[in-house]
Amino acid sequence: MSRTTRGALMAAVVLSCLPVAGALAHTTLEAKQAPAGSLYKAVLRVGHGCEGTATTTLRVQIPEGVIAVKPMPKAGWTLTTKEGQYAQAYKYYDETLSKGVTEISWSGGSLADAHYDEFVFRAKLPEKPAGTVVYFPVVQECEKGVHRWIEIPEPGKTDHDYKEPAPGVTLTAKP
Amino acid sequence: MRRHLTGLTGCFAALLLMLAVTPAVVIMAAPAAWAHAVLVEAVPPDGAGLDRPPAEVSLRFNEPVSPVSVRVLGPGGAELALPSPPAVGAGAGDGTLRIALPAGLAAGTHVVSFRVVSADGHPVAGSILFGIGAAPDRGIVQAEEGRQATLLVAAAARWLHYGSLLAAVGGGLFLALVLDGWSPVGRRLKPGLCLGVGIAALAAVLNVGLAGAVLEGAPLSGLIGASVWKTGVASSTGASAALALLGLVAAALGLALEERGRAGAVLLLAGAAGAALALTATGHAPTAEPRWLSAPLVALHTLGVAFWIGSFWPLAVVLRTEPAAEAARIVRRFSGLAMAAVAVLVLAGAVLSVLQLAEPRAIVDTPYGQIWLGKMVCVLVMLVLAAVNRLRLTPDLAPGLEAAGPAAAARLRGSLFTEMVAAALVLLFTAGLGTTPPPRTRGEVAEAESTGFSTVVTVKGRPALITVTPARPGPNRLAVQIEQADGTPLDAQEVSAELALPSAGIEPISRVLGKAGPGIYAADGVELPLAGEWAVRVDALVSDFEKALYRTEVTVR
Repeated sequence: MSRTTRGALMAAVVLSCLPVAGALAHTTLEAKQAPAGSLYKAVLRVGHGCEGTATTTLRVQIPEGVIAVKPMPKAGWTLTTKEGQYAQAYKYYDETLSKGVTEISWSGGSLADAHYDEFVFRAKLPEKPAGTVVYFPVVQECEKGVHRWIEIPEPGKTDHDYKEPAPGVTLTAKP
Repeated sequence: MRRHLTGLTGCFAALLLMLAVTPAVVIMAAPAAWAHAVLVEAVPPDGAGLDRPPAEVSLRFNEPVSPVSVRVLGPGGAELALPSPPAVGAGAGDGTLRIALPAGLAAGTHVVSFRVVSADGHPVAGSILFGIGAAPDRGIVQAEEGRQATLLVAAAARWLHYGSLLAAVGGGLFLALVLDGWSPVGRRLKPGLCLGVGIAALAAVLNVGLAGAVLEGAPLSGLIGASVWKTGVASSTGASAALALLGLVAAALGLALEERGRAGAVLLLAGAAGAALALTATGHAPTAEPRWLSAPLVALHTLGVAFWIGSFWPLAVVLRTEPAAEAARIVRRFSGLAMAAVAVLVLAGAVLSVLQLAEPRAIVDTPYGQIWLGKMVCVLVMLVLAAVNRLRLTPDLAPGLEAAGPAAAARLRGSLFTEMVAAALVLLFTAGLGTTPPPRTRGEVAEAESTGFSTVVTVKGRPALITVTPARPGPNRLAVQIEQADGTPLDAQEVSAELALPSAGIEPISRVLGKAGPGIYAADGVELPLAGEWAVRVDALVSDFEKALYRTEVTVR
C-alpha cells in the first residue's frame, strides 16, 4: 500500500468519524439558528474552491418567503442581483412587498482554494413555525469546475447524508 | 376525341395531386394512424413482488393504443371488477394505458391481461403478473387458446379484399384511360367489372368483421355476434373499408354512366382514388415514419398496382374478342400508360421497402424480410413478363402482320394469365406483410424484451423511469427517463448517478449520464460487480439551483 493510499484511507476514517469536521468543508451559514420573522445577517462561509482552483463567482438563490434582501458589497467582486415577483405579497413594516431580490451574485473575484472568505447579505426571515429550515441554495463557480450547494434534504434525512447540501438556517420561536 | 383525352389526362393529373395531398391531410386530422405498438414498460413491472397493493397499473407502449379488453384476475383466478374503464394517456404521442385497480386487493398473485389495438389496426395482447406480499406465481396463467383459424381466415379475407378491390377499380381505370371514350368492348367488359365491384364490396365488409375478430381474439363463430363487428368498425380497418366502399360506389356509378362520357370516367377515377385512400388508412406501410412521405407513396403505389392488375382481365377480353387491328391499338395504348404506372409503383414500392426494412440484413433475418423477398421474386417475374409482353409480343400484334395476329394475340393472352397468377402471389405475400411486424419496429421490441430492471420514482411530481439493463453482474446500461410534472420531457442540465451495494460494502460508484434523447439520460458499461439489492441514486440538475434527487433499489441477479 502506497503512502498516499494509506493517507487517503486514514483521512477517510477520520472524516467518517467526524461528520462535523466534514461539514466545515462545505459552504455554510455562520448562524445556524434565528427567530422566525427576524432580520437575519446571513454570512456564507466559503472554505475551499473546486478541485484546488480559486473561486470566481458565488451565487445565492433567495427562497420564497425571505424578503427585504440587501447584499453587502465586497471589494474585488462585482455585486449583482436579480429581482423577481414573490408568489404572494408580504408585509414589511408599513410597506407591502410583492417583489424583490431573488438571486445575489458576487462575481469577477478570486478566492484561492487555500484561503477563506465570507459573503454577507441581510434578509428578513419568513414567519413560519419554529423548527422550519430555510435553505439558501448556493452555486460556487471556480476557475475549473463548480460546486452546487443545492441539495435540500428529503424528509428523514439530514445535511450529513449529502455531498453538497444547501446552507440552511433553522427558525426558532419569535421572542 | 383528342380533346376528350386531354381532359381525361388533366383529370388524372388532378387525381394524382389529390392523392398526394389527401393522406397528409387525413393524417394531420387524425393522429391515430401509427404502426405496430410494442409494450415498452409496465408499472409495476411484470413479475414484481409488491409490499402493498398498487392503485393502478400503467402500461407504456411505444405508440398510442386504444384498449379492446382489459381483465384483472385476482388470486385464484377470479376476475375483478375495475372501478373505471382503462384510460389512455392524454398527450399526443403518449402510449400509456392506465388501469385503475379496485381498492383493497388481497395478497397473492394478480394477472392483468390486456388486449389493445394500435391505430394501424394491429392487436397487441399480453399479461402482466405481480404479487402482493410475495413474488407472483407463474403457474396460474393459462395459455391463451389458439386462434390460428381466425388468423388464417383473416389473412385470406385480406388477400381477397386487396385482390378484388384493386382488380375492380383497376378495371375502371382501364375503361376510363385505355378505352378512350365509348367502345363496344367497354360494354362487353361491364358485367364482369360490376361483378368485380360486388365481390370487392363483400370482401371489404367481411374483412372488417375478421379484423374485429382478430382484434378481440375471438373465434370464427364470433362473426355471428355484433361485438367483433363493432370492434372492426371502430378500428382503422373500419375506416379503410368505408373509404373502399365509397370508392366502389363511385366505380359502380362510373360503370353505369361510362357511356355518357366524362362524368362516368371521372367517377371511375374517383373509385380508384377511394381504393388508394382506403389502403392508406390502415396497415404498416402508410404508418412508417416519415408519414408525410409514406402515406402518399402508398396511395401512388396502390394506384399503379390497381391499373396494372386491373387491366389483365380487360386485356384478355380485348385480345379474344376484338379484331386484330383494334386489339393491337388498345394493347399499344395500354402499354404506354402501363410503363408510367409501373415506374410509379416500383419507385414508390422501393422507397416504402427501405422505410419498412430499415437495414438490408433484415431481409434475411426477419420474417417480414423473408415475406418481402418472396413478394419481390414474384414482382420480378411480373416485370419480366411485362417486359416480354411490351418488347416482343405487343409489336407482333402490328396490323401489318395480319397472319401473325391471332397467334400473337393467343401468346399475349397466355402471358397475361401467367402474370395474373404471379400478381395473385404478390398480393398473397402483401397480405402476409400486413400481419407481420416490420423490421423498423424491431429495435423497440428488442429493447422491450431485454429490459432488465425498471422502476419509476416520483419526486415532487416529476416521475423518473430508471432502467438497468440487463440487471446482471457485469457491465450494465443505466438509463433514466425524466418527465416534468406535466408529462413533458425534463431537460436537465446534468444527470449523474451513484450505485452502491451497502450490504456487500461496495461504496457508491459514480457515473455521469449522457443525454440520449429528450428527457432521457444514459450511461453504458456501468460495472455492477455483485448480485444484490443495489442502492441507486440519480441526481438531475433541473435548474441552476434545483436538483431532483431520485433514490431506488435495483435488484441485480
